[in-house]
Amino acid sequence: MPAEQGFSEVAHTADLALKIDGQTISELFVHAAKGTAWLTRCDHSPDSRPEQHELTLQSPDIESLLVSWLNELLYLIFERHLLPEAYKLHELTPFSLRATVSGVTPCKARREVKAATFHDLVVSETPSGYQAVVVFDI
Amino acid sequence: MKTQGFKKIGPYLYEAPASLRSDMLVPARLYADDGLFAQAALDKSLTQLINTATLPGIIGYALAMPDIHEGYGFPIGGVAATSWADGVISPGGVGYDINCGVRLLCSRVSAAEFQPCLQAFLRLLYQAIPSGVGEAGEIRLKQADLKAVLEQGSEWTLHRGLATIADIAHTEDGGCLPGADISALSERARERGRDQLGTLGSGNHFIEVGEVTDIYDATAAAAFGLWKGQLCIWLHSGSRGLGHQVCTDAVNTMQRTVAGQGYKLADRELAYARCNSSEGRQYLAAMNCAANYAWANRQVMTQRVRSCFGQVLGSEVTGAELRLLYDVCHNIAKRETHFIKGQRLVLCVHRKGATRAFGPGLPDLPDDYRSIGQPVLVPGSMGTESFVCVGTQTAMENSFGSACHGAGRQMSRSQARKSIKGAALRDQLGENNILIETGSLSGLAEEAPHAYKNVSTVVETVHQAGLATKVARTRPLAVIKG
Repeated sequence: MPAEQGFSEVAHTADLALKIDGQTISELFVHAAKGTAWLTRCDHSPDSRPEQHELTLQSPDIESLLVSWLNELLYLIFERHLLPEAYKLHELTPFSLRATVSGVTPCKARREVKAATFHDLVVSETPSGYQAVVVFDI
Repeated sequence: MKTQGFKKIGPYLYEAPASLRSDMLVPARLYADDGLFAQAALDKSLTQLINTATLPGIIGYALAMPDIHEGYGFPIGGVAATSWADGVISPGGVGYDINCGVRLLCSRVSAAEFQPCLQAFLRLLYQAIPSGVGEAGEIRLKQADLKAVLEQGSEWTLHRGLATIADIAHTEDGGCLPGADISALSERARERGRDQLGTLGSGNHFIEVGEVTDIYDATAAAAFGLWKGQLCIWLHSGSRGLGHQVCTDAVNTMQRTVAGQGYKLADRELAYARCNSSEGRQYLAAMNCAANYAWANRQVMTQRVRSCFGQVLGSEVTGAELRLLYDVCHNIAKRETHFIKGQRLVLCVHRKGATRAFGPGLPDLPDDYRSIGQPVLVPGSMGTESFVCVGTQTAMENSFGSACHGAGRQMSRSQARKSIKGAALRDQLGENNILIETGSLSGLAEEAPHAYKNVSTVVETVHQAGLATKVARTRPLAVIKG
């Protein structure tokens, strides 16, 4: 995966983990979303059509918000069969998020990802912005 | 080697004292030989075991079995019991795949007799039982049926002619935990349960056709109906999307509870609620729904396996021809009564990647096994041996009647994919006369045998520690990997 995507897979004994970077928190959230979709290995369908979903989330802190965001995406991928392609964050605070997720449907994911977890999750500041490592249960 | 404060206190037992960290309420114990302990020290599993020892109301010890590896909250292989009256329940001690479990079916035919049918049987099974990511089953449950499945578990399959009374008797808890309540489930969890009944799933879920190669305990083997050369079938699956939605919802809710109450957690995935709180009762009701769904799921697939078996043999196969030896769950939290130092205690026993291993004489066991003890099913990785063991009184005294659940991973999935390609692995297994059907070659590579610990070593540890003693060994002949 190209580095400019903002995510890379890191080793985890049983499941999957992504290291995510972003110059801003919004970028971190978008990169995390792209990484999550990448993990599921969704395929385009020849008869796919565009679809959009509006998400509004509230959480006690930024890590919970990130986990909720990624779990919403996993729901869209596995239950709504959406291949997400674009993410527009209209509002993002440490406790809430409002976004539009655009993509095509139907898509078939080729790898099951059950959930994003809180395992060792800290959204931390780095010299170039923000970073988080998210572990996914598969 | 960093021991992280653990000291060896027995040939197969390591302990970290409660004084190791100020937030520990009890000691932490790991059943392992020296090699398995050294492996455990390589990832975060020992820290997770120590974290488990901080759960409010925890009784005795935070325990882990020799197939330990890093998980979420609890390590995989973790066992912890809390006081039902005033302790807590944690979804991190159950896992995302609630009632992921395994069952073993035993036939009346030998593997040698069945060999000519094996390829055809494997193909039939692969067609008959949906496997892989997001696959839906033939059964589409309307709300009323879903409610019945969630609240009745295996009993629902019995009413529909998909199970025998013997199947129910040979399923842990009769395939149904009481107190399941569909109203405790989110709409998303219910949605996910509507069309996945009778599906295998993916990841490390599998169906394995095998042969009994060794008998270690002739008395227990006779009671379980096992004999050398026998054809048997392992089935490993869980509660599918419904189960992990229940866990996701519960972790989310309990994060808010914990934040609101100002609890300090050693690990956010150890978020908990008091068993007797509204959040705790809600989670239990939802978890029991997922557990019951998983049992019904494995039973529906069992009926399909029997149907396919009959097709290749050219005759109808009843529950007697392909008998359920037992079904165990290895991701669950249950209300159990245990006697600890002469005191009768009602506990919430969490087993996360660990198997119940009840000893002889307990009313929870079916009549035909009660004098022997509970079968403990320990599948190895794809391509390696598996074991049937039996629970013991020692397990009741030392591990809340618990033992290991499998081989336990030792290698990351990314490393496994780099180490071997799926096609090469399939060919390698074929050279060892193991047939494979799978929808994902990269998924196959992730499940390569060398990505797992040596299951024989894991089982030998619980055997020598007296938690579950060996009864029989099986080898794989054919595998469907989800």
